Amino acid sequence: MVCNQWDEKGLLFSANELNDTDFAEYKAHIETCEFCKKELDVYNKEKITLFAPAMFEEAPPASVDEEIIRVCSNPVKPTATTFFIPAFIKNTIYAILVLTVGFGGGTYFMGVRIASKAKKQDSNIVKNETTPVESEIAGKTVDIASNQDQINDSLRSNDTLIKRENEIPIKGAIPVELKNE
Amino acid sequence: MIDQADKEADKKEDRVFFDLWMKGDPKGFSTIYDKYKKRLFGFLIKMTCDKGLAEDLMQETFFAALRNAHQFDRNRSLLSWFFGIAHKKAIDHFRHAKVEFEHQKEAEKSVGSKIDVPDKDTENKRIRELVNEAVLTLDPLQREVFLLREMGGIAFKDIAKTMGCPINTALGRMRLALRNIRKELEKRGVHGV
Repeated sequence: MVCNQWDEKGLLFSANELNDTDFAEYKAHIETCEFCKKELDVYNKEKITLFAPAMFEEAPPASVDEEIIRVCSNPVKPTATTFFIPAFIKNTIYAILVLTVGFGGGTYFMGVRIASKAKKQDSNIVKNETTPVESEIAGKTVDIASNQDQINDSLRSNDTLIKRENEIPIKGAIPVELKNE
Repeated sequence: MIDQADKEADKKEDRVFFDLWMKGDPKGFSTIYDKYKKRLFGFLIKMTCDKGLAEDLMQETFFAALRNAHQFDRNRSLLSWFFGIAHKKAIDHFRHAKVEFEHQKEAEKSVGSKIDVPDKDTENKRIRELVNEAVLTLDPLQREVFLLREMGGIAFKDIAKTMGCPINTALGRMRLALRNIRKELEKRGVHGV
């Protein structure tokens, strides 16, 4: 007869890994269950005979022993210049330093760039010298202006003409008072 | 059942030598090493079925232990800690080499040529050989659980954590390992204990 309690709790009971309640329960169970009692007895005997660690032990070669002892006998000690800080704290500090330097440096260079650009724009406004293009445009403006003056003058003279024509009496009409005697 | 008092006394003794080791006293490490080297080396041979590879992994295990000694939890079993490192080294090696665990026939082939059996009386020597053969015929996962439990004394809940499986799976593999070892021993003429 097979008992599934062995499957669930037997090995854990043997390894003393059950909590107090389950341990007491299973201990009471094996008093009445032949299957579990037998399995436990066989396994406990096997552990001290067939499965004892000595059955599987092997001595390493002397050369391996010597090398391991040579390297491992003196553990790494913290030096005067290093602090004994747990690895994760050290790594966190390094990360914060890198971020701070990176961010600070980036901000500084950006600020310098912006400042120099602003300075450049200010100096351009203050200067009187025009650029060649601006001079050319200025010249053409003057030309246009002088041409416009000429045009205005001619328009004004035309206006005078028109005005004079309007004032001039009808052609051929000579106001002669003598004509009527 | 495992005697808890003996385990605690063992842990206490290990802590004393561990502290000596950390202070740079050569006696500290050499005592610990002599106490556990055979068990660890035997474990690595069973895991890898290759003595040369087991030697390399043995060195890597202790070098890793040295590097991480300052992180060792002194309330924990030193043997379990070493076994955890050795197990990880073995698994990592196979992962990197993309080598599958040997199947039953390969394991049987390798036993005679690579396993060294120390000199003992004939009957014990024979039983020892047969038990080792039977263990090497196990499915790799069953073998892993069995060796971690019986050689390393590691708790089933820690074995489950190490292997990345539920505890019931680890227990199931152990039950199958026990059943299969007994079957293999019976085939080889070893009946019961």
